[in-house]
Amino acid sequence: MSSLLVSRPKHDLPTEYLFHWCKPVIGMAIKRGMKVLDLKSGKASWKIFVSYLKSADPDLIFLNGHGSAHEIGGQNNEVLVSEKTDVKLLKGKIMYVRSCESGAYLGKFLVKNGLKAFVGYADSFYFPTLIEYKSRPLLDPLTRVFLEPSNLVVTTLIKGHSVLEAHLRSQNSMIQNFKRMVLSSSSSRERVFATYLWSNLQSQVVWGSKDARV
Amino acid sequence: MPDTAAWTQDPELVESLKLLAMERVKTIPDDTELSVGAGVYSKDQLLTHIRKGDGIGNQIIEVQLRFLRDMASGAIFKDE
Repeated sequence: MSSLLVSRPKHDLPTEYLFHWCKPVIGMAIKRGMKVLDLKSGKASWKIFVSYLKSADPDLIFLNGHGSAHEIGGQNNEVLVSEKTDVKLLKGKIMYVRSCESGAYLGKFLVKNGLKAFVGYADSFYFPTLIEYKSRPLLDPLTRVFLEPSNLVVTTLIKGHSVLEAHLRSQNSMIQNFKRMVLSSSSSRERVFATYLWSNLQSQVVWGSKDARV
Repeated sequence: MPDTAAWTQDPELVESLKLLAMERVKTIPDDTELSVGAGVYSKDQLLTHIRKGDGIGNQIIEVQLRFLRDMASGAIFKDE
């Protein structure tokens, strides 16, 4: 049985949104018979992350939270992955990171040291929110335009497709949403934020084996 | 954050780009916010960051610049 490790901290509004938007991915993984290791909220700690890597040896790692070119954070931004990580634990795995900037350097570094493939963002990851939906992030139609395409990276991998296919499906979904957003018939809310979806599209990167699959 | 070194070195250009980015950000509706890294920003907060020329402000300028460059180069609609 293949397995998925998800880290989804929840300590501020951006992580709360990402926390909830992982649910459709987790649901699909369970439906497909995958074992899901769910590091939610306080469980998104370095200690638990490492213990799950050692004990469960997941095939696919999906990290959400805040990041930089050199670090990926968990609950309260505790560092889960950095250049100091024991990369032997990540050897042969596929990783998708929904955070800012980790694709600029860290992703390349991890691949160079044994990670099979990495998908992430070289620049900041943006998404807009409608204030009235703050308590119901999964129903926010504006956020959906940004986070559904990003979920596609993982759901495509769960379906057994390659890393390249996952990346391209996600990018194509962003392109379709972008084209709809810039039409004069779209809402002014969507038109205004198209710029930021374009930025996510341009900064999504793949490092390592594009043929890798779960 | 993208490399902003080139344009941030020219004070006159910085002021022009601030104005340009601010005009575009002013169109953000009041009932929305933008998540950027660890923060969530309203239109007014984004305008303040741009005016100050801090890290968040410069990121917003860079996003607008990239979009306008890609629009001008035809990269945005290359598959049309």
